[in-house]
Amino acid sequence: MEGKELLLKCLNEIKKSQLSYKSEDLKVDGKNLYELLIELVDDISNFAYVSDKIIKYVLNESGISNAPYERDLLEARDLLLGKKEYNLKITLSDNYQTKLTKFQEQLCSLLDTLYPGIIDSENTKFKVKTLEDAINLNRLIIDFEFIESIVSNYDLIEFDNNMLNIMTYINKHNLNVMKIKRKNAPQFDIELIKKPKLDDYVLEILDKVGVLIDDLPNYLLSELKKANPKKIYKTFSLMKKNMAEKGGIMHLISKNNILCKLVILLYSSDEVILDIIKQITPSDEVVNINILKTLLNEVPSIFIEKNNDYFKPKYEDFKNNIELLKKYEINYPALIELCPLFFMMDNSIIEYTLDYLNKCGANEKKIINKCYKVLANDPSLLISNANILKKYSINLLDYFSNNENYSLLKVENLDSILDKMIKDKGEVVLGNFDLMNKLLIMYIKKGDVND
Amino acid sequence: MIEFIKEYGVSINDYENIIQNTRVDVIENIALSENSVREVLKYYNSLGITKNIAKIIIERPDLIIISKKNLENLLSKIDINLFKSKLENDIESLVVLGI
Repeated sequence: MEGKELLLKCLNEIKKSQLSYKSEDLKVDGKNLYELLIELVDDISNFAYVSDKIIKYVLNESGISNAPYERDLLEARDLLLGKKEYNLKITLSDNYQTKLTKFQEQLCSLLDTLYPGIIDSENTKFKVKTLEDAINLNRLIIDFEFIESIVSNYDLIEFDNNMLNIMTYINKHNLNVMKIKRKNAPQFDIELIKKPKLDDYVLEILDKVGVLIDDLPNYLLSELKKANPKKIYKTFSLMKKNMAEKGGIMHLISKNNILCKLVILLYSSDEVILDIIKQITPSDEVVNINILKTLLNEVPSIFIEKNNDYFKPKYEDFKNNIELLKKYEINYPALIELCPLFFMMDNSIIEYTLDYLNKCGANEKKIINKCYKVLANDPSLLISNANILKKYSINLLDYFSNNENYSLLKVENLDSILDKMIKDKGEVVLGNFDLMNKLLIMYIKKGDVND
Repeated sequence: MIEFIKEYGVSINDYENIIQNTRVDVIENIALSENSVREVLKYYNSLGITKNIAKIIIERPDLIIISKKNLENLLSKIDINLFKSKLENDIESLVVLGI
């Protein structure tokens, strides 16, 4: 059986064994309690939207009738609501934070008591859907722990053979996904029947940024009209501060790069701007203005967080990529200057590549330090070339342990190059990495690489 | 969105080729970093590089999304004629030469 077919069979087995209960059973005051739990786990400040009825229900069903505790929860809820809806400057006390965490735990425990296994069941449903989407919508398949569990569940005796089959399929699938998606619809402006009337806040921003409405493309006008004027004015107020430490970044963007300024206003936020500044500033040090300027002027996409129709958000990828570099103690300020594009690369693709090569014997830190340009442009090349080296019976553990030059991993048409090396020097050349690296450079300088 | 690159020697055909064959996020970022990209393209033109700009954008966008100062530092490590020759015939091998 083909790997993909086998994987889908394993998924179907899991789906059959899922609990069935009605979604309506989980609702209190119109809200699905399991969904509420997910929202609270994701961000406890979502407690702002929990109704009095739900709070009372959870406390009563949990067997807790404690008036001061309930009162604290209601107060904490109202404070969070004020913060979210009216931008009140509020920090919850430790007492309130503790009460909210306790409520979240009670909700989790209550759900598991009323519907045993629901937490696991819903988690599993989510993982099944994510895996199905990855298979059918051409996304990376990366939840290997879950895959092992469903393959084991399907047939424990044939686990090893089945996993081999499935992993062969997954590697091919992921490699295809990673090939850079080149087909790209060109951007075009939208037609407007008449120019929208913009809010006074927005007009003030445009005036201060120094742009005339007539000079703006229609899609930007439309986005400015749709945006929450108070929210973008708040972001504007932050951006135009003098100090970078406090979020003042407007003066660091090239003066006449109006598009960049407006796009950051529309699709970034105070939190994102301040977080990026924090990410590039070691504790107790001043902001590295040069690095910040590089990010703003060369990869401004990393400031975009909100989904929109025109510019792909890259903030999450930046955040995950810089954390990756910090984890491996890599000189990220230097990398920002040398290769800003690295920080925009899809983090899941970088992580998958590093994990794949690590399983071949590579050290992740070395791969990043030596191959960051390839990671920024086309990470799939590293995996393809590792597979080619394996095909030519080159011991990868040996390659990564006894060789500091990774040029063979970075070159296109590696199989043709290896064939040429064998033709010139005999099969004995394979495994003599020093000689192979020298031959490669010689071929490239002579222009022999594409022969 | 990035029509301005035509001012630096990118032909109409090459422009279409770029739009069809370059990562979406790279195109968008070029639009957002127009000032920096213009400086870089002007620098390439000053080295006599015009018709291969499309190739650089498609195959090596990291050599476009970079400051002019850092690009100059990078290219100072290689003979410019070798660089131009590799751009013309074998852009994929530049990374092995340290570019």
